[in-house]
Amino acid sequence: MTGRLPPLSRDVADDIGRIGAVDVLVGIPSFNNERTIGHVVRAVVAGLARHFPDAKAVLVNSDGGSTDRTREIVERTEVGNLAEILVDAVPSGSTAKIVTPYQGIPGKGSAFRTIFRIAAELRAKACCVLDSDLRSITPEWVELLLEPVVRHGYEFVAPLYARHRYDGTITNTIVCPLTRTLYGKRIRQPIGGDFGFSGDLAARFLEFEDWEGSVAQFGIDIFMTTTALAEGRRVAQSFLGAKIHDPKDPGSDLSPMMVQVVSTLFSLMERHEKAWRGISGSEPVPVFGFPYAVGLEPVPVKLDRLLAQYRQAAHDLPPIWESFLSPASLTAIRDAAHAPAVALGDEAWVRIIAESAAGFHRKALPASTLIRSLVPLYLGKVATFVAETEAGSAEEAEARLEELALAYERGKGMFETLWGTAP
Amino acid sequence: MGRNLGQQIALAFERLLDAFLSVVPAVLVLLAALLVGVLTGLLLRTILRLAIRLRRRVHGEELSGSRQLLRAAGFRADPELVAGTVSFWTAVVVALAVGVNALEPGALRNVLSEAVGFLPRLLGAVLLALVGLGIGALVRRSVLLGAVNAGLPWARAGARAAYFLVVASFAAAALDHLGVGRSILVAAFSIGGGALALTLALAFGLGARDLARGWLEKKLRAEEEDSGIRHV
Repeated sequence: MTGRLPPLSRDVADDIGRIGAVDVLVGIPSFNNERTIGHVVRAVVAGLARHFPDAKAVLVNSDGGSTDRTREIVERTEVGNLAEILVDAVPSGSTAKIVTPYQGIPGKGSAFRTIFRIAAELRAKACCVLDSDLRSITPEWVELLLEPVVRHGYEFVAPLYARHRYDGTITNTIVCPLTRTLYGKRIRQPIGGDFGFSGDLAARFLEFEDWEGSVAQFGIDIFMTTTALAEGRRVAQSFLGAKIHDPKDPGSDLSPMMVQVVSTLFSLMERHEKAWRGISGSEPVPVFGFPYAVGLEPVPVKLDRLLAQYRQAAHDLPPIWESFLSPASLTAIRDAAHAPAVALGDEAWVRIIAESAAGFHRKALPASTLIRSLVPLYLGKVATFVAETEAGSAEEAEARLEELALAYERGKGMFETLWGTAP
Repeated sequence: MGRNLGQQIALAFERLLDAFLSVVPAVLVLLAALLVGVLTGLLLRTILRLAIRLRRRVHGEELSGSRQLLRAAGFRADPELVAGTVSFWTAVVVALAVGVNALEPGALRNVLSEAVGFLPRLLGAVLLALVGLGIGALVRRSVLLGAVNAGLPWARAGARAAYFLVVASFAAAALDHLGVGRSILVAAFSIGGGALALTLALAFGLGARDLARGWLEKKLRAEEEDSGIRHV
């Protein structure tokens, strides 16, 4: 391994020595999640008992220094009467637990890094990671994320959720279509947060050398997905149903989260340039699980607020955008701002993203400045999408997102050309 | 009497010639020092350029940290050019200072000493002003982006005010470095800063009490509600 390994405490080393090796490992990163983590732990223990009764399994909680009872809850949570929960399954034994604080800069990525290290030490054959603030998780999630790896030879399993059309808009307008266009695989939720992967791939993640940047924070999800795609690993998706979080979601703080996700996405373009150049079009990725309709909680969008922010930025930010956007893009931004209802078209949006990626690559501006200046443009694109789809059905909204993804694919040559001329 | 006058004039010319001849070595020494300074400066500049080019060849066309820093501060100049210019002029100033020190004590040396002694302070002041402009540009951009992303209506005015505040502070520091109007500057800044704070406090907290309350309430409500969208 080339990267420096994250340190493990003596207690964890003792636990690893006692456990030896495992078949499956479930990792849960946490930080002050006392309200929800008990439910997640119960679902995991029940899922392992039901779907992997003969496997040697371990649950790893990598905590970011919670000041509430999160760690205590993980240690003490008992699943209750498994015979009642599982009905037809006979539980074999209790699931081993490792509860440890992680070291490194605070963030989800640092928590995952410790999980990867423990997975490598325990020579886990298959792993999955689950968010600790999930309210909608069921024992089946464990099966759906681990089974494709354990029994079907897949190396990476991305989640597929039923989500409201205005839930996950960075995913819908940037991350999903760009990842699909670059690497040629249609992963619908590249930054979903809950993933399954092989032990071999966990060890590969651990080899990454820069755990001081955005990968240590919210960039970890796109890092994992992109690494799997760029290295040509066998990739699948699993339908998990609805994803319902705790109301206080750390990802709701837009600017820093967007900087972390998009800067990771762009910097991985630099890292994997050979992998994405030359790919045209995209192909579907196998889906495990049984997709079903879910009654989704509506997402009330304040369109006026989005429009106001976009229009103000169109007035105030051109001096910054001039550093990396072309006159054609600036004109499109200005025209959209002056339209009665903001209409930032797909072609213009794809060009803005391509020029931003190239600007990031040639360091036209500091990375965080460049991406923070994209925030109001992204809000403008979201406002356009909301205006176009609010009267239609969920299927029509999904079809509209497919049109956007195809626009990205048509713009692939532009990504390659602009990237090639930078710096 | 006429002969006496002629002798006096000749004597005066002789003294003038002596004085002139006594200055010539000093001027020659200064010119030599200047020549050495220019040559050293050129040599330093060439070495720096070669080192930077070599670094670029090794690390490819990747932008160096110094260029990123300059770009972040809004300067488009090539770091190669900046480093070359700074090193050249530093060498010239050092050579001049050495040359002046080598002169015989006298009025000329005193005058030149004072002039050359002022140059480092002048360079320091220019450097302070440039750093101020750079930091001002960074602050302006940061305030502008933060305010626009927070949906604040005064984003552009706030960014401009922040820029002028930073640049004015550095300009004052540069003038202070030159020793220009030191006491006046301190007094002006104290009065200006105090007046600004008092004006804002009165305008916002007292004069526009209702507006202040409304704005704060709206802001707090907006933070709670945001746009309603889940982004990831």
